[in-house]
Parts: sequence; structure tokens; C-alpha cells
Amino acid sequence: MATVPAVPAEDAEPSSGGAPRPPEWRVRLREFLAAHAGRPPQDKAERLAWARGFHADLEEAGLAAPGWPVEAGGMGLELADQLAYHQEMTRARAPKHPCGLSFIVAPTLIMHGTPEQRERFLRPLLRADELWCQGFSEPGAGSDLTALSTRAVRVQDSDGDHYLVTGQKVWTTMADQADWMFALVRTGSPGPGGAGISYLLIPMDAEGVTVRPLRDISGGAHFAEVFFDGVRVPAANLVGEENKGWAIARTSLGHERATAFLSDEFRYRRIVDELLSLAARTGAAADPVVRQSLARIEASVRVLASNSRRALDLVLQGSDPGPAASVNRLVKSEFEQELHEVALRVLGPDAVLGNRERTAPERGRWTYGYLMSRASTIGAGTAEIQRNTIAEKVLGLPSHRGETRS
Amino acid sequence: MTTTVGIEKDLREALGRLLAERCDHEHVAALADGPQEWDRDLWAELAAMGLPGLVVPPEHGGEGMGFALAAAAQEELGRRLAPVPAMSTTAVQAALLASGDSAEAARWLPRLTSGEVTAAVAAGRTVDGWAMADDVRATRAPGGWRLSGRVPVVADAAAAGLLLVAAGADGDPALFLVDATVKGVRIDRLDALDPTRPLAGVRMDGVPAGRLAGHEEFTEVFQAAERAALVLLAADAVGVAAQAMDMAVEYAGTRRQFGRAIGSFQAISHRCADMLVAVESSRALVAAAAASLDDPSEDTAVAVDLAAAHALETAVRVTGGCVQVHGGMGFTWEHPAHRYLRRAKAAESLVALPDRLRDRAAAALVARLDHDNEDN
Repeated sequence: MATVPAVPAEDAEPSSGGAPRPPEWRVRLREFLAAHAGRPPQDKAERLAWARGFHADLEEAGLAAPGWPVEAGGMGLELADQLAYHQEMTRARAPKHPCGLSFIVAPTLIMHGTPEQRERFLRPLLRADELWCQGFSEPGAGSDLTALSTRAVRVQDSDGDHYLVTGQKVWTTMADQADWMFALVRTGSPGPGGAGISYLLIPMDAEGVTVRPLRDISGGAHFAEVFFDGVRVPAANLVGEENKGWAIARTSLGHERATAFLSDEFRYRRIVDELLSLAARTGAAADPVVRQSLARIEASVRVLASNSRRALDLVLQGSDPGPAASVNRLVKSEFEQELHEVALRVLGPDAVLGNRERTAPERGRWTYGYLMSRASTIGAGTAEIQRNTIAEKVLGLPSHRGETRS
Repeated sequence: MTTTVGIEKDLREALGRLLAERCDHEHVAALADGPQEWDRDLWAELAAMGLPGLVVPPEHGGEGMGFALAAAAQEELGRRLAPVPAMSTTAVQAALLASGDSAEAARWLPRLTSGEVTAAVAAGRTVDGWAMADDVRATRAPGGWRLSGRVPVVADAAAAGLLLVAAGADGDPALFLVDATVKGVRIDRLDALDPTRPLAGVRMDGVPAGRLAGHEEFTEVFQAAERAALVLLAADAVGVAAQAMDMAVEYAGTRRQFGRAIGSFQAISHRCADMLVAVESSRALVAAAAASLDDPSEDTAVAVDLAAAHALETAVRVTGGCVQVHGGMGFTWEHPAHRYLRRAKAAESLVALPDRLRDRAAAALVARLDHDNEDN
């Protein structure tokens, strides 16, 4: 592994000469990681069970959610400690939480949920006892998410206060495994600023929920369509106020993006090191054209690291993540594609092999990544929408809709 | 950490105020198009703020604040196209500090730091960076060395009271210090793509010189100067790009065609968004490179090369984009857009070309990897 110091301040190893001793949580985390060291099982189902077990134990030990407040079941660590935390986890190759989307709904619940909702959902979420999927996009509402039309009608009958949900969500990751969906639904008339949209937690095992897997560009099924046919959802599952869900979804997304970079940062560093390694091994690094590309990728991974820390710093100070977060989202989307573009160039003639071909270099991971990374400029806001956001929200340029229409 | 951030903020604000008053577009245009080569008065005011001594430790009369702050200051100078020799002077200071030659340091650093004297680097220029000046010969003389020959293109030479000359001595590369005011030194002004960073040819006819570094120390000392120059040039480029972006955004928000502000068209607004991404990315890389000069590691060279490549290229792209967004206005002599484009484009080839810097960085990263693998 290359010792490229993407993180200038290396962690303080206990050493002679009065170096500071690692904090108590770090000692415990290291012990925990040492005790849980092991290779991931080959089998997919076993691997999921293994990751769930790891995160349940982690929660049990009080070592989950470094950035969350202690009241919410987190560790309440400072920025520098959060970085150190993710470093330890990456270094130990600890299994990722099996449900990344959980960490989009969780900050929303912490900020806008009722005490009952926090009590009910946060712990099982951290432990990965319950998995979550996100129900935002619809066939008619992609980049223009506020055009969503899945309806939730409030009814009060002998069974109590409920919503009846009818409609369709699409591109839903993990829909087949999720226990819950956090969804945006229409409860009122459409209007400016996402009016009439509510944030609702829908049990995936409720009657009237149908999940249909959707085959993606790589040939696998990573997401699904979800149909709702008069699904009853208790009104207690409404997050925030009725018709005010759009603002809630947006604020939590902004903060989530800022913190999500933190864990991505170390992962990207590792992947770039692996790419450099591949280029050295295959001899592709002898090609000056390839070296140009490698240097550009290296610059990007450093930009991501430095911007994510800036954004997170601002979030932790209680301010908006600012331009650094918007910039990073776009850099990251395009970085994932460029990285794989370069990787296939490095593979050279072997790039013709499909990602399921067993004899492909590194078991087809780069080809697979190449195909999957097409989503990085589409999902969670296309690169074009991200540019609109930067132009209008950061630079203050007039709306692309034109002044006459708005 | 907080104090450093606070000091940087204060310095940027103070500089911003001074430059807004003393270095507006009309002033820069008058100076660049006139007979005067650089802004002596502005330099004196910057010196009063401690700017020329930011990287020099207090024992030599400096502020000892390091490159992190010097880069932030240079970004502000770039924003206003300030025609002052900060980059060249800092490069020579870095060489003096790296040489460990206490006599030469004691002789020159206080005068460079106070702003009394500015300096320039007279070296051979290649796409890969500075090299020995081919046409200069150093010969031993009683009590020191004498230099003869010419260096065709030297930035900031007209202002310089001190020259750092890379020349061959007895067949080996060496670095010399030459008092530019002595008899036998001739400075001939050249027409420069970027008149805010004036160029000149330097001729020396048996002029006395002090040897700062012999061939053992040559590489290390020369590298220190080149890295300092690259980081400040890159920081300057970030400022140039940031201001060009601001001008483009401002114009796009006010200029109307087809009944609406042109900035509402995505062809324009997305170009501006890309400018922001490039500027912010460059700024992040330059900050990391400057920090790495202050706290050197095995990664310093790579950090500097990647930052310089990114920032120099970004400035060219953004200033070009600024001209484009301004349409016909951007093509006029009157509009400042071309001065930004000139400063950016000239900076790209002043020390080392971006693609060569990237090549060097990638080669170093891969070599480091090989080395690590052998260790395992």
C-alpha cells in the first residue's frame, strides 16, 4: 500500500517521549476491531448476516454513530475524532453498515422526529436489525422531484388515525430487503417550494406493498420498483408537519452529504492506491498519457479529502456546509466515473472482458465499477441538476427557468 | 488552528482593502501599458504590512508565518493582478533559507524582508522547470566568483536588486547571488504576454558573485526556490481565476439577451458552475501544498506539483471562460478580461508546464508504490 498522506495529521500512536495517549473510545474501538477481525464470508446472505452482527455488537459496545449526539445513541465525537474513527474502521477493513440509506433517514429523525419515533427507530437502525429504503423518485418525478404524485390520504376510522398510500416509487435501492421506507408522499396540492409533500415512514411488510426488482446496467438487480395500493400507514409515522416534508428532506440531505464524504474519503483513497498499484503492476504507468490521467485522479482524491473536511467542519460548527459541499458532490460524481475510465485504460486489452468473467483482472471489479459508476452522475441529483444548484444557490445566478415563469 | 484561520482572514481582509484602493483595474492598466515596470509604491505599502517577510523567520527580520499565509496573501495579489515581484522574491528567500549560508542570509534576508530590495531568479527555463543557465559562466576570482554571459528571459528582473543565478562553475552546477545594481549587469526589458509580471533579459559581464550553493547542495537549494515559486504562482493563479469567475458571474447576471439574463441559460450557468468547482478545487490543493512546504514530508514534491498543475490550468480555463461569457466585450482592450487571461496563460509556462508537473507527480507516486512493495 502506498503511504500517501491524504490525511496530514496521522493519528497519535502511543509512543515514548510524552506523545498524547489515545482517548478512551479509541482504545476500546481498537480492542473491538481486533476482537472482530475476520474475513467476510463469500456467500452473499452470510456476508449480510456477518455485517449485521458486527454492527449490532458495535452498537452494543457504544461504538456506533461517532457523529451523532449521545442522546440519540451516538458517540458525540468531535470532527477530528470522527476522522480518526473512520480511519480506524477503514484500516481494519471493518464491514460497512449494510444499509447506507439508514444514515440519510437517521439525521432527519434526530432533528425532526418525535421522541417516540427516535425511541422506536434509531437503535434498530444502528444495529442493522432493521434496514431502510428511500422512497423519493417516481416514474414522473426524477430530477423534478416535487412533481411526485404518490398520494397519502388521511382517514380516521375505527382502526385509528391513518394514511392510505397509493402510487409508485422507482430506483428504490434495497427495497426487497428493507423493513421500512422513508418516503415523500403527496398530502396536499402542488405548489412552489415543494408544498403539499409529507415525509412518511412506511412499513414494507404492510398489505398492499409490492416490490418488483429492476435489472440495472451491470446486469444485477440493485434496485426495484415499489407499488402502493391503498397501504395503511399509522399517522404517528408522519415526520414533522403534514405538507412540510420537502424542507425536511432537503435539510437532512444537505447535512447527510457533508458527513457522508467523511467515510467516502478513506475509501476513495484506498481505491486510488489500488489503481496506482494496478498501473504499476501492468506496466501501464510507463505510458505518459496514462500518467496524466493518474495524476488527475490523484488530484481529485486530494480535493475530495480536503473539501470534505472543510464541509464537515462547517456542519459541526452548526453552519451550512457551504460551497465546499456542493462542489464535492459534483467532483465526487464525476470522479467515480473518471476513476473507472482510467482503470479500464490501465487494463488495456483486458477491458473487453465482462464483469462476470471469472478470468477478468481482479474478478471484473473495474468493469463492474465502470458500469455502476454511470449512476454517480444520475442518482441523488444528476450532474446537470447539481450544476444548476451551484449556479443558482452558490453563485447567485438567475434561475434557469427564466425570470418570466417563476 | 483557530488562530491561524483568524490571522489568514485578517490578512486577506487587510490586503483586500489595500488592493481595492491602490490596485484597481485603471491603475493596473495604466501601469502595465506605461513605461513603469512595476508598482514600487504598492510594494512599499505591502512591506509595511510585513508581506515580503511572511516566510522568513524572525531572526532574519521576517514574520515567520510560513507558506500557508504567504499563499493566501498571493491569492489576494493575483485577484488584483498586483504588479509586484512577490513570487520571485519569495523564491530567492526560500533558496537563501535552504542553503544554510548564514553570511549570505544575514546579508540579504533583512533587506528582502523589509521590502528595500526585491529579487529575481535568473535560470535556464525548460518545460520541466528551472535549470542551469546555459550561457552563463562562473570563474574563480580573488575573493570570490565572477559571472559572465546572458540569461534570455528573467521574470521580475527589472525590479530586482538581487539575482539568484544558476550557472556552471568548473563544470558543475552552482547557485550564485549577484547584486543587480553593480556595474556590468545589464537588464533589457522584453515585451511580455503578461505585462503585470514584467520580463527582461539579463547580461552579466564579469560581475562579482557570491556562491550560495555548490554542486552538492545545488539540487536541494534550487528545488526549494522552485517549489516556493510554484506554490506562490499557483496561489496567484487561484486569485486570478477567482476574480475572473466573479467578473463572469456578475456579467452573466446582468447582461440581457433574448429578454432574459444570459446567466439563466444553462450553457452559461453550467460553465460558471464548472469555474467554481475548478477554483475551489485548486484552492484546496494549493492550501495543502503550502502547508506541506511549511511541514515537509516525502509527499511535499507531489503535493506542490499537483497543486501547481491544477491551479495553473484552472486559471487559463476560467479566464478564457470569462472572456467567452463577456462576448465581444471580453475581446476589447478596454475590458480587464484579457489582462486576467494574459496573467494566467503566462504563469502556465513561467516555471513548469502543467502536464510536465503531472507527469512528475504520477511518476513519483508510482515509484513510491514500487518502493513500498519492495519493503513488504
